[in-house]
Amino acid sequence: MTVDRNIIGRSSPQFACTVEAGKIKEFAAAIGEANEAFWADDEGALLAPPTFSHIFRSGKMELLMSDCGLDATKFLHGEHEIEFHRPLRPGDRLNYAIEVVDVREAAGKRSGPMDIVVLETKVNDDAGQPVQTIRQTFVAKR
Amino acid sequence: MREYYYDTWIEDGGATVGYRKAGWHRTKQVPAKNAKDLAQGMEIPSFTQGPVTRTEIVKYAAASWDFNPVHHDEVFAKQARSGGIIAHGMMIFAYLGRAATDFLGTPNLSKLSARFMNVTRPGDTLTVGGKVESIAGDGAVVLHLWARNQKGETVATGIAHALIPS
Repeated sequence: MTVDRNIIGRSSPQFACTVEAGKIKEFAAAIGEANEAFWADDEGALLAPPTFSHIFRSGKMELLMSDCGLDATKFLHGEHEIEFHRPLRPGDRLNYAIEVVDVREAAGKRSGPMDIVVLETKVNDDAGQPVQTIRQTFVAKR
Repeated sequence: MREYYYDTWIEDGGATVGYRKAGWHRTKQVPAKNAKDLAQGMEIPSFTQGPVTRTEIVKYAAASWDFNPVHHDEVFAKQARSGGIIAHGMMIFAYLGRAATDFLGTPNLSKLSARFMNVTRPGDTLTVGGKVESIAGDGAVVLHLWARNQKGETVATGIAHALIPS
């Protein structure tokens, strides 16, 4: 399989979600996180753990890959970077847009040529201000 | 401070069922670190996670709304490339984030990244830690993070950038 470079620029439908206090605590419990910052009962003081924003996006990247004719099950999760423009708090309404930003080939040390697909997720608030930018690299053997 | 109920079922493939570590966990205040408290090369406190159980993986699946069956459906997962249930990469990434925020006392990270090297399966015990890669006078700190399993294999590494009081 060679990934068609023409998929660069393809994007998912945008979707919106609202950060909820209870969900933050459920997430904190699931990762064994006891830091008071993620458990505060005062919603003004409550913050979301760093990777929390990803829950709203679960399954959406796979949909975009499938829209691009790629089999998401063939790809491994390689590198992953989250840039934080501001902290995430309960009540934040977030708009997500996922885009294919790069497709390239790499020579694997043992496994031969590999396909690399880079997806970028822009998370903005309702005013259009950036909240997070997420870049993820997926790798598949040919 | 508040307490929350924490339970983890014992699992060994179905023969034994019961509670492990059942009880109340207390939240903790993590005071913001000051740049003066940090030095390059300083190790950050590590924590142990596990043995990771299917139940914990399912708990993460529910909390993160990621119901890819490779993380909970043994019948499906055995036939998948993973050859069995594996934990979410994002669960391990969350542990790296936890090491950073529990140390710095600030969730005001500017960047957090991870590279995934090995999968985590039920029964694996992870140790998560890191060190201070650099600390600048203005409070710009870079942490190197890692998660290793009981075999000594690195499961994931990460880098956190944050700005702390100076």
